[in-house]
Amino acid sequence: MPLGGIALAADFAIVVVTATVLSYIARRTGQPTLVAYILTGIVLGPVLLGIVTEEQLIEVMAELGLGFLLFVLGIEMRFDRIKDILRPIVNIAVGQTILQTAAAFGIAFLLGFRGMDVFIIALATVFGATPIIVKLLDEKDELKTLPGRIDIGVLIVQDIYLVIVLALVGAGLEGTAGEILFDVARILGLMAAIGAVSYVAYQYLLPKLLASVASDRNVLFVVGLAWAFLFIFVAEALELSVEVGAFIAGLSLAQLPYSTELKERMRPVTDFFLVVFFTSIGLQLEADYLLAYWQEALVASAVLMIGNFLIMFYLIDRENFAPETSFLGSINMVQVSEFSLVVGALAVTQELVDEPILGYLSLMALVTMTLSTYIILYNNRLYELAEPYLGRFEDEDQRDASLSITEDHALLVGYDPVVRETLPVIKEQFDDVVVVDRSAENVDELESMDVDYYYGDVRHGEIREQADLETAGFVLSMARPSSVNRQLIEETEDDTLVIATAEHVDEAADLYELGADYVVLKEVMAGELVGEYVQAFVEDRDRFRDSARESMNRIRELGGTPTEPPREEIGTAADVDGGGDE
Amino acid sequence: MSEFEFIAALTLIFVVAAALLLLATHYSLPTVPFYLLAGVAVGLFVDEGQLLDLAQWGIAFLVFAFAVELDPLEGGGLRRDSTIVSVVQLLVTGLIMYGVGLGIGLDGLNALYFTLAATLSSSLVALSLLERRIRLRSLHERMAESIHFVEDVVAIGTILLLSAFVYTEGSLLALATGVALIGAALLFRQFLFDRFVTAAESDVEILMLTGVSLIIGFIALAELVGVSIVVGAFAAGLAVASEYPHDVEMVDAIGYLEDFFTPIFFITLGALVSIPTVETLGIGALLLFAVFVLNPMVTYLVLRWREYDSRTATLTGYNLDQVSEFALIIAIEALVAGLLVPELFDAIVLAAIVTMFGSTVTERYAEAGFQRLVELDVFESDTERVRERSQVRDGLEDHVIVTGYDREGQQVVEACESIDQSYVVLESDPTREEAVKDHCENYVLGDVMTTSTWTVANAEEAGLIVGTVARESWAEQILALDIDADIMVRAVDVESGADLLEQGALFVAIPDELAAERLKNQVEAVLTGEVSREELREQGEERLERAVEYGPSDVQRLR
Repeated sequence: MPLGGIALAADFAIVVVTATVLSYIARRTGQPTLVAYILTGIVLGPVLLGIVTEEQLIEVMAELGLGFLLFVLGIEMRFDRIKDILRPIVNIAVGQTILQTAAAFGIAFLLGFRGMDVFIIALATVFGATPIIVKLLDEKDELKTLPGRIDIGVLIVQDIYLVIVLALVGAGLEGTAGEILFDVARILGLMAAIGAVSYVAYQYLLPKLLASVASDRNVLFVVGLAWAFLFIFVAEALELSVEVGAFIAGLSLAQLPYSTELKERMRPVTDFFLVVFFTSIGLQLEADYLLAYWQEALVASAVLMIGNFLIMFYLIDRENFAPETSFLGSINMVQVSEFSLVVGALAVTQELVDEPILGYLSLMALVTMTLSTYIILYNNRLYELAEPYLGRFEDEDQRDASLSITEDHALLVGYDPVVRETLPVIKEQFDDVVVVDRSAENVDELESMDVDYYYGDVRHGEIREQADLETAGFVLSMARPSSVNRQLIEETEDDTLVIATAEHVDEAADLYELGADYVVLKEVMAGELVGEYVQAFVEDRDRFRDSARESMNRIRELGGTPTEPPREEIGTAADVDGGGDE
Repeated sequence: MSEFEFIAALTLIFVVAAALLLLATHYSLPTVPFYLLAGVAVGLFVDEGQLLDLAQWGIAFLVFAFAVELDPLEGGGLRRDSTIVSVVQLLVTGLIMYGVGLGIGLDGLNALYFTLAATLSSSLVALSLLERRIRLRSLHERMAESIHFVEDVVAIGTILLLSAFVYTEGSLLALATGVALIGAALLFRQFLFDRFVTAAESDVEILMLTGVSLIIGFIALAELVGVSIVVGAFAAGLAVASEYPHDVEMVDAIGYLEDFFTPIFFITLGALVSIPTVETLGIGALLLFAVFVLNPMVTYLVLRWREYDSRTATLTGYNLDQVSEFALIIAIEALVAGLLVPELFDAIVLAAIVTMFGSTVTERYAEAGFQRLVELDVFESDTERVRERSQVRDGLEDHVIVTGYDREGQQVVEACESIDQSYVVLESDPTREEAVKDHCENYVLGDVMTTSTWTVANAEEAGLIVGTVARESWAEQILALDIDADIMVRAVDVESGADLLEQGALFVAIPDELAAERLKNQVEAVLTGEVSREELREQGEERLERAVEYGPSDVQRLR
């Protein structure tokens, strides 16, 4: 037998195929894919079929999934995104973490858990699952609303807390108070050291390094991967958890302009390995474990969902947001975070708790995630129902109004000579101009200009989201390949003026079909002009030679060969034939 | 291998890969040979056996991506000639090398592997080379691409045959099921693929999983019926319809997974190489001879026989001078099956490294090398031959010479005709020969890069030469002509534009700049309401109609 054995009867292959099937079902029922993945583990593992065990490849892939998840999380830590509401968000997040940990602790204690169990449960029960909230709000177009931004902000701050918890649980939390304290100090010290290294890299190494590779499709990605692996490896070698290393690696990339692009490239790989990770959680559970505390899990789910909603509502309201903002911002956050399972699984590995506790956490995650999906989907309707009772939370000076989405702006995609030339004209007509470009060479120029600039490939959903494509009033896209422009045209409003480029005539015809207002065929335009210039030449050679010489000075200047006349005064290509347009 | 060792191995692989990619980007070199080379080094530290599973996924994603991108319609009019060239080349080089293989004492099967490594060339490396160059494809590049396509199909067929008759008991049944697998994939693409995509509601995550599941599914089927996983992955790729809008998200996502697994594959492959023996080096040298000398020679002769000019014939051959990664996949399959002599495997991988680098060099210097050979009179002057095939009015002077009858050329020709200006069109692409003969009063069927073409076109008496294609080597050739005519050329960007002006061009047309100028006015007009959106659209559509009438441009960009 030659190569093979990788798909047939390979556990990993069975996992992926099952996860795919279940995720289609999840999609049908409006559930997040995360639920499908955990169920995959439950279906394939000892609870139901028992055909897949946690073999080594699965373990490594699960570990990588988690590492990449934290890496991506680190990359997402762009502080400028939440800086305008940073203070209230920190207040809310800190308050939420404390109150809700206390609530989880109380509930667990009342339900009869004791000792380390109750401690781990309290640490692990964190509310607000980033992938679920982000995905659902994104689909509902609510990410940029104020409640959406508060939620994302709180989740970001919460993630920092979780990284610390992970580091602590990963270290074992064993021994006397003194030893634990020493452990904590050691962990924080090592984290600080790694953090310092990554900060130095961020200051001196990474900007240059990434700028030199960012223009190539896969080089940026492989360099990013290598960076992640390097930190994962170091963390592993220092007996810190893989997650901490990955998170810090991501953090050092977050503030660079390439972060969104890199994150979008990491995403499929991360998703891919995460499937294995979440499945492996389900795989660890025996039926007995999953259902060991089912009554407790259901009670705790119900109490904590309500409790957490009230905690969040109180905290957001205390920061002087309108009742609607407070309501929506808190009702989105009523599910157990995916990190509960991460922490729980880690605690089991460290033998701090037994599997039934992980079963309890998993069941809670499944229940709250499933329910909260519907809650988020119908959050506005729920608010309408609750509105009459929220009147007394109205306040005079609420701060909601200060934030808005960019609207009716000009969106320019691909900063090429055409866009560069046209930009001044567009700036005169639009207050807000957003430029999206994926060439590393233009980063400095664009950052220094008076436009909103995003580095990245516009084919990534998140970049289009950031650029507020859907609300743009005018789109000028020189992006390649043409399929990207199709996407742009389809996602803009019908009355948006769209000018896009195409390389082939068939593509151009397609774009017109889809509703483009004008399709630029650069080569055709240039060919026509050359024809016109040939005519001009034949008609009056000397005149042509003179004006050509003049207009060519501009090319000389742009191309690096210095010439005397200043830029404003020289003729341009169009002057050669009298400057007329058709 | 413990988890820690696994992570250490992956860290090593990716750090090395990243460092080499930095180097490769900086010097515009292909990445695959770097990966292989890195593998040879990494192999000293890492137990590659454990990585073989992940490496196999590398193969799977590589072949999958290849099949998704496969477009049998590309290559157009060249398909017939390129098929002839490939077949003759495979037969001639194949037979010679098979004989050599037997001669140096390999058994029949190993001689076959030897032959495959010697004859097949690599589309991946060639593609990345083409991509890095200016975004244009000249005749020889298109020809080379078309030949690659044929050879890749041959490679897939060979893998199927090998797995049906060599690795397993050997039955027509296995072959038939392999073919059935591909048939099933095409049926899936036709009838089911859309449903899946619709059901996924463009959720990238689910689309990605679907893609991976397709790969797994087809590979599992392949394993079940006992054919190579390569055939399975190929079928999976065919099952994915690569038309918009599906390709954008699913193929992107799979592409990133491919980027993750491919370095693992190539580096593992390199790691399997042991320290070369004299025997290895000897076999390697023979492979190099076949790739660098024998193959280009055969290609040259066949293309000349098919009436291509000597430049196209030479340069096409030197676009094909590298060992194919399909040959590498075939080799690793045979090695794992215990059928390949280790020395031969090592020689194939080493030859791949050398030829992939070598190909970059020949790619870069082939043009100059060819010109040098012309100067040395290695290729006989073909002025008379060109004159016979051309039509230029006697005593033509003060005319406009247009290089090429693609869309841009036609636009210039039309401009000339509308003011009764005499012109000569130069064209070397056989597929446009008829059009030129039908429409142009004066034409030369010869290559822009050869002097005889310019002699026949009476360039000395010309008033204006228009280079319609933004190919720098063409523009430089035109500017190097020792004539009085004014010269108008095109360039891809301002840097090369400024360069060409330095060399004496009167006017350099840069599509970006020209389009920018024109578009600026149009945007201003429509934003200020001077022109309505409807009018703008009409203008554009009119222009599009004209362009469609002209037919295709030579300016094509690769995906």
